[in-house]
Amino acid sequence: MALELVEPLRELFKDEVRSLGRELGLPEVLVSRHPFPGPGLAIRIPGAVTREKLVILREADAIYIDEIRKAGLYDKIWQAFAVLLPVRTVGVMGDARSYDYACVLRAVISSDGMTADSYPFTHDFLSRTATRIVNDVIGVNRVTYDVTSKPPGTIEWE
Amino acid sequence: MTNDLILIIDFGSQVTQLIARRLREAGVYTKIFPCTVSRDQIREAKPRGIILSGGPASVAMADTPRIPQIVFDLAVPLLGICYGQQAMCEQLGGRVEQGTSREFGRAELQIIEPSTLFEGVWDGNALNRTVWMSHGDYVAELPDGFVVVAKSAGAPFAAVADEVRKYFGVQFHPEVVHTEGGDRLLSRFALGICGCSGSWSMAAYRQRAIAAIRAQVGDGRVICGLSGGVDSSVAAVLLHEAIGEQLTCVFVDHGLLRAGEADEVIGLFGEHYNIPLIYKDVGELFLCRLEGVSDPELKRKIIGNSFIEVFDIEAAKIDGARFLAQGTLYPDVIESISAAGGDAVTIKSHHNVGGPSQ
Repeated sequence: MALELVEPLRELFKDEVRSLGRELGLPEVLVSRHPFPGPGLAIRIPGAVTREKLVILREADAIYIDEIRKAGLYDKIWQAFAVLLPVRTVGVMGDARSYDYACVLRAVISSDGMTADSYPFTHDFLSRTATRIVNDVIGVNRVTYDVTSKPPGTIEWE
Repeated sequence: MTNDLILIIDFGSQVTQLIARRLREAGVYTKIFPCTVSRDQIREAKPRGIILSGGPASVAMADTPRIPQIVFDLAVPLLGICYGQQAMCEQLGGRVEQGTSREFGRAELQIIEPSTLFEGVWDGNALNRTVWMSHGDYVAELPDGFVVVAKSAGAPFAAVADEVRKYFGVQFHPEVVHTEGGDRLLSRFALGICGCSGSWSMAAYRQRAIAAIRAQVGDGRVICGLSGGVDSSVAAVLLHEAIGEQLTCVFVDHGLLRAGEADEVIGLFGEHYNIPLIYKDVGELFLCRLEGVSDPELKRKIIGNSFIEVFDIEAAKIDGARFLAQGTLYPDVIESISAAGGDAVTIKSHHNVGGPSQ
């Protein structure tokens, strides 16, 4: 297929695209949305991707982003997301032993994505979010927070 | 007649893009050209002024980049930054030496003469200002017509000016936030010295971009891939405003999206904007191909290739489509034009889903 390219944004920087979006009347929720990688959740599930893991990750991620929005922090953060680890650990829930996945929360601040620091959430925020994820998401019994900067880490896990 | 535009000639500095950013923030339209750009491209841009960026090479060595002669022939104001200052001074008859004491990071600038370049840049009357330096070489002898207007510990000619020709040079980096008043110095050059209007805005861009899209596309049909991200969404809405029903959007749902994401895209484009939208749910195909694959690069490759395969099949079904729209941004454009690679422009693939981890 030989198609000629049309690139109407090729003179703009990222924040200019956002103001053009506002100028065009796009909803703010879309204009201010955090970057999302092309391969999607597949690279937030280290190891093999399964339907079950996608369901778990979607729920955990939605709760995490919801808590960030409720705390008024979404626009202060460059990118925030949950990662589902290919690791199951032991927990105790309602007097019973559980053996479920561990999930990682990641949030970074950055001006351009080239370098990044982890966002300094309060302990209160992290424990509130962790409690909600473990209570509401079947399949997760442990939540951790990633404090690695870039470099040496990358923003995404894969 | 000149265009309401400042040209930046890039000598390979890590922070050249910041010069453009600062000027755009001041409402000045800017373009970045590599230093190897052809003389015709510079002439045809008709800039009101030219900024010469920093760079990693040494003017004191042979076979390092120089300023194209056309830059001087245009007789517009010039601002050389770091390497740009050194190259300008050397080519106009001055001399550059390799320093024994290098300056990296914060340095104190001592203003010793008034200059039109400094007007309105700093608050108060202090003659010492904090600037950001990153250089080994320095200008040791000025060309005719220049005077030194500021110095620092490691740079006797930290700022120089030829007020008649409106040629200025600074050894420090005004584009870096650590330089006090750096953004105002750049906008002073563009607005005050070069006479730019400062009216670059997204409202103006919108009108220009719509006219440009119509001119390029005519009555042809355009395909635009949607991802749910900001760039492709803005591109699609802009195209829709320009060409209406000639636009068809294609949204390939690879089953790896976040909660509610596909519905949002369909709701916004298919319902709110009423843009013809081909929605292809291929989650099962992707999951089957990814089954049991745990190597991260292999996962990316499978997803990238499958995405291209599906997108091309869907795009081929759109009768008479002649154009493919994509949300390429300026940093991608600049990255694809190597400072050392001549004026060849390589366009990145629109299928960026298979790229490496960042």
